[in-house]
Formats: sequence, C-alpha cells, structure tokens
Amino acid sequence: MTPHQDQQYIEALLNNDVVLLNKLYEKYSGKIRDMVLKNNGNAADAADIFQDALLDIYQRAKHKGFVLTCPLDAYLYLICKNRWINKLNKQSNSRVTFTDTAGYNYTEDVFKSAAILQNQQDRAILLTQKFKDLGDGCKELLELSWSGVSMMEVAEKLQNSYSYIKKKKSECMAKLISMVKSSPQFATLQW
Amino acid sequence: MKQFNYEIIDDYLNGRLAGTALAAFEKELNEDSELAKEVTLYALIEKELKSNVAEDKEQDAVKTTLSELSQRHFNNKKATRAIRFWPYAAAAAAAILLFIFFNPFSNDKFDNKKLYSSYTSQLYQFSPTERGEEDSLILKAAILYNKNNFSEALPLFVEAQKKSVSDELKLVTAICFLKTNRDEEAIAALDVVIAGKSVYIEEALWYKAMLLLKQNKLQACSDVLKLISTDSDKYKDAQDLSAKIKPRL
Repeated sequence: MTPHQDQQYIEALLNNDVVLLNKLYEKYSGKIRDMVLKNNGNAADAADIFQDALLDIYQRAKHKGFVLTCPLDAYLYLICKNRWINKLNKQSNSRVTFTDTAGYNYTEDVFKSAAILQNQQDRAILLTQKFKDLGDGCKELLELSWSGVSMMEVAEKLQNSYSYIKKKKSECMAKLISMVKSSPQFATLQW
Repeated sequence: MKQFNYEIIDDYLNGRLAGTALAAFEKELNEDSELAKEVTLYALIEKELKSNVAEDKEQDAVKTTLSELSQRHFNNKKATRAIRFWPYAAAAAAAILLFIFFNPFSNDKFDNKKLYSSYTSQLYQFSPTERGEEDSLILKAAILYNKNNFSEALPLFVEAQKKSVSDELKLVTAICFLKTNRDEEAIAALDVVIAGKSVYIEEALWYKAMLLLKQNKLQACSDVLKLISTDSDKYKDAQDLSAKIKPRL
C-alpha cells in the first residue's frame, strides 16, 4: 500500500527530527489534551498518553516495518483514546462513560492499524512480564543470545561449553513459552 | 500437551541447520501443522524480546526529545491557565518548586539515568573527509553513527581501526561502545585518547564522565568533570553537571 503523506512524521520519529516532531505536537497534541481533560484527566495524563503512543509507533516503525497508510490525526487520536479508556477502566470498578471530543469518522484502515498496534502492545507487555519471571540465569543467557553475538561467543562469555549453552537456551525458551501459553491473555491475542 | 524440541527449532531459525538435517526438519514442518505453529510462535517471541533488548539502547534520544516537547506543549498550557485564574496559588506553587529544586537536602530530583540521557541526546558529530578507497569504510560507519545506529556502526569502526588509527576514530568508537552499553571497552578506548596529546582529550573526558554518570559513580564522575579545561566546549555542561552532582556527594 502507498504510504500516506503523514508518513513524514513517522520518519521524523525514526530520525529524531526535532523540528518536524515539534510540528507534530503543534498539530495533534491539542485534541488529545482536550479528550483527556474532558474525561477525568489532567495535562500531565494527556502528555503521558501522547508520548507513550508516539513511542509505540516509533517501536513499530523501527522494528516491525510499520508504514502509515492513513491520516495520522485520526490514527493517533484513536490510539490515545483507547489507551485512556483502558486506564480509566482499570482505575474504576465499573466501565466509565467516555465523551468523544474529536468527532472523527474513522475509516476501516484507521481501526485496523490501531487494533494491530494495540495487539502488538498487549503482546509486548505479556512477553516482558513473563520474561521478568524467568530466573536470572535464563534472563542473562537469553539477553546475550539476542544481543547480536554468536552462540559460541555467548558460551565463551558465560564460560560454558557451546553444547551446554544451546541446551540451556532451549530449556529457558521452553519455560518462557510455557508461561506465555498458560497466561489468560494468550488466547485473546493474535500471534 | 505436545513436547517440542526447542533446540532444533532454535538451530533452524538461526541458520544452524544444513544438509540432510535441514531437509528433514523442513519436511517435518510441512507435514506437522502443530510444529509449524510452534516455530512461528518461537520466532515471534524471540523477535519481540530481541527488539526489547535493542529498544533500551536506541530509543533514549527520541524519548528525550518527546519529553522536552511534552513539557513545552502540555505543561506550558497548564501553567498559563493557572496564572490567569489562580495568580496567588501559582506564585505559592512556584515558590515551593523553587525551594525543592534549590534545597540542598532535597533527594527527589536527581536521576542519573535521565541526566545521562539528556546530556547524550546530542552527541559528537563525526564528519570524516574521504581521501581514498580505504576511507569508504569509515564514511559508511560515520553515516550510521550520525543516525544514532551505534550497534551497526561499531563493527565498521573497529574494522577501520585495523587499517589506520586516529584519536577521533577512537573517540567515536568509544561513544559507540558507550551507547551499546559495552562500558569496559568504552572506558579503555576513552583512556587511550585522554592519555594522548590530541584535541579530542576534552571530548573524551566528557564521555568518560557520562559513562560514570550512567553507572551512578558520582564521585568519580565529579573528579573527571574537574579535569575538563575552561577552553573546552564542554566546560559549561561540565560545570552545570558538577553543580547537580555536588549535593549528592
């Protein structure tokens, strides 16, 4: 699909282009601020929601090849709105009433992109949580194996044999995968 | 529940299977849909967590920029609204904030990692001049480095140093080590530049101080900052950081 012209803002995130990112804030932060303020939040909440959404988009663009194919304003608003509603629902005992302040007519493309980002974020949270629950030995070995060095170098750094380290990695991954599959969220996510 | 051989799955996904072993595994993948699903899940989990490891190192600069822009676009509007309608409350709040900020006994503002991120959001820019074919490796590395792609620039800088060594090259290699959390190698490279006689000594001292700040070794950081000359571009930042560290010593 052809990138939307707002892809320039995604490139700005990837290149840490302060001038263009400032323009992004000028154009889009106001609606997020209004949405949060009208729904039991303050300016600091709005700033956090906006920043977190941009960092998630950055990660998706950097590591998962994301390209924007819809207008950024509606996409960003929908992501921030979903995040804010989730946060309010977690804080409240019952589902909160939400006032939509922007009045966007979302296209299917916007919904789909926002849903993919939400799924990716939920997956990342689950995997990070389960990774943290592994023992220190497994965490150290797995992080080393993902740092770009060969398994031979991992074995040298950990002062063990190559065959032992490979076997140990497979045991750690087996444990991690078992913990992920046993979680209640596993079945609700796209893998 | 079906058991899987994760060692062979890992070998397959990381290109360590070959010949008949590879052919046999691929045949099994085609015939066993459960195995195929498990391999997909394994690959996805590795990819997701691998990018988490990379994330921490690479997103600092963007995070710092977004934090500063958030301050400008969200907090400024809040302060303006407060002054318009609550002038006395705003003055009292400002006085309290000033007291907290300048109070030498206050322990809740200093964050070594945030300071490190802030001070290293703009790094030494490397602009080598190509003199011949042997410099094209350095140019490639420089392009990656200036885009903050330190993990990819680093092996090229290391390779380039096998052909020619300069203190500037050592400095940018050290910065790459620093930004990829290879602290021991960063210190070793910086110390070589500091012991030399080149114009890069002051920059090297600054980045050594940054490394010590990141490690929260504040006394050592302060000692290094004192060595930065008054003529250096980094002198003002060094003084600023020294003042922030001093109450914590």
